[in-house]
Amino acid sequence: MLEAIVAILVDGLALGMTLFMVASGFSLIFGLLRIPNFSHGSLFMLGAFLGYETFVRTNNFVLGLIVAAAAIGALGAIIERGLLRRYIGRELTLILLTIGLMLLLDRIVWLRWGDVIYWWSPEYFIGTIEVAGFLFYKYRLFLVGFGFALAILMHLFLKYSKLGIIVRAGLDDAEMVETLGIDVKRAFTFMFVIGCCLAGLGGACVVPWLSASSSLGQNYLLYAFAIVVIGGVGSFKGSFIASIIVGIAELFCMYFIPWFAEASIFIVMLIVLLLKPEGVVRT
Amino acid sequence: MSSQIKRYYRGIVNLFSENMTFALSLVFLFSLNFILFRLGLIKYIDLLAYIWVVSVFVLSYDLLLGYVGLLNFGHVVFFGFGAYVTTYILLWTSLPYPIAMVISMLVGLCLGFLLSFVFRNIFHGIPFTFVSLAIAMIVFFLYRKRELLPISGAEAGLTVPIPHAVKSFEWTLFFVAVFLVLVVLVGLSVLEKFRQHSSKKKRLGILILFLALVAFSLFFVMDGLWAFMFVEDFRRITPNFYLLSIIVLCACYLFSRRLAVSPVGHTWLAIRENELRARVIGFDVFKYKSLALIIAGGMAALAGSIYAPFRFVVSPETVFTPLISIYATVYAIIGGIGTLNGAIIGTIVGILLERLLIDYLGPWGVVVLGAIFIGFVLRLPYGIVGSLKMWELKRKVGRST
Repeated sequence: MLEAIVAILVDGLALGMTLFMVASGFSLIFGLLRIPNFSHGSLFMLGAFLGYETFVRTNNFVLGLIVAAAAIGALGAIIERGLLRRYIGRELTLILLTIGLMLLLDRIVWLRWGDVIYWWSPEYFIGTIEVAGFLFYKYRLFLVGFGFALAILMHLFLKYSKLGIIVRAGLDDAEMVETLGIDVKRAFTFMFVIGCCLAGLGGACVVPWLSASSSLGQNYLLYAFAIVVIGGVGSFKGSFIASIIVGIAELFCMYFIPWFAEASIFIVMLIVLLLKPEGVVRT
Repeated sequence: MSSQIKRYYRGIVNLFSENMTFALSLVFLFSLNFILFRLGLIKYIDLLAYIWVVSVFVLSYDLLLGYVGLLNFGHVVFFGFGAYVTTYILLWTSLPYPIAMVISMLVGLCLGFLLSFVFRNIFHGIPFTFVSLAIAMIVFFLYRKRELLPISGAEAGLTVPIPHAVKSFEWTLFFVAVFLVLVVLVGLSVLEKFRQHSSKKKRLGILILFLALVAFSLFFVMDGLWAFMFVEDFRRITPNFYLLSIIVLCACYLFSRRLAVSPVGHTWLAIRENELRARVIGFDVFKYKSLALIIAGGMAALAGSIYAPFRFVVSPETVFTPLISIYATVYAIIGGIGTLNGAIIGTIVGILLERLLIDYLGPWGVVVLGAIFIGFVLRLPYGIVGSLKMWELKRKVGRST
């Protein structure tokens, strides 16, 4: 029993980390630019497939991660600059535009890769490792460590770098920051790109564990919704905590009441909504 | 008592005379069923009936989006439960189909009432959209599970028994009777219009158009009825569904139109424009919003309860996917948000475009559709009907200055 619970906790954390990579970007973009980016899940999925293609061609795990993150970041920059920027402030238009993008990207991915499931893993991550008498899958442990490192890095970036300070100030009151003579819009575009990079990175990270498939986009988009609602809009810390909660809750349900697993997240969300409508962490 | 009836009568006639184009096209569309039947084009009757059913759904969606400003991606929950409840009643009880429809509608109303309490704290903007979508996803995921096979049919879905009523000739007769009543009402409203117009030329035009239309459609309806009497039972199914769906659509449309000009409709608009101000003035915003959700929910459930036996099979994939709500948004945008008739026109254009593109371009059709949709949002944000209205307004303003 103890073994099972430890395994569930590690798996839940690993799932939470992949969710965190999608949801934190989504949450920051939504909180900062007021863009409800419905195509975020599709960007994540595209990242997974690009990562897979690079993995297979070069047999290099790190290169795949970099390529996926860079490509999705670049795509995000194009989308924000070329399409979304002009409509900031018009929520309905933005929702519809990003939904159109979502349908478009999903369809293109489906046409290129179809309904097949793609899995690839570097050899050094295959198999298990024994730590303190418990057996763990190597890759899941790596994912937990990687996710935590990324979260700490992002946190430090937001807290201490100049850009991070501008972004946090912008979250609070964009107009005020602008009056100080700071180009907030540029900082926001930068955050949009960072969010997309994170999504692409998360997508590539999923390939060696849950594998890439064309249903990934919509599933992860919904996770992102739930996490934003649980963690509070625009809160980086909130989305980190919410991702872990959701990841562990889902894996516990998968173990004990499997048919309820997917719905469980949304039950968590409803409970949070009814008890603390502003999210678990106050921004 | 009699003054009350007189008031209702005046109201209906006014409603028709204000929506003359709708009333006249209704008369035509009713007879279209019989024309297509005589020509043997059952495929198109099927397509059109499908369009009318979806129109009812989009109409309810537009009521929520255009009048209260709630983008409800969970709207499909009402539709799905409407379809499933109808299926349960037809499968497990021997209640007749019309009662199943009424019960499904009541279920939709109750669901709207319950959900409005879930949304109590977040009844606005994007949080509402997220949470409603999440609720739709819960239901969708649960209904797809093998464990719920007996009530959901899991992935394969449940087969809906075709209600006996839909096969019967009596139903066609009933619908034709309703149609005749409609024609009389439309005629009265034409007379009303006739009295209002001062220019003699325009008066004559309307009257001649109406009389020609009535003669034309009555001829085909009677002709079709004659053919209907001798045809096998199963051939009447699709045309009967066509008639049922168009009458339901007509009722829902007129109801929404009436609602839109009522005090409730105006309060909705006030809430959409500035919620804080509406609250300060003294309106109970929550009550009005939940009323909108209840009404829209009932309408969507009604659409679902026609859809279920019409398509023979209900499965989570067809009645519970959140994609249905997204498509409803697309159709509402194409037609124009908050115009009501835009919802119907948008559905017609959207579905026909979709069929055409998929027929000619195969899987790439959806990609093109997505591109067209983005173009619509960017270039014609008011949709077809909204843009026409704006254009007319601009012309009027230009003329007066």
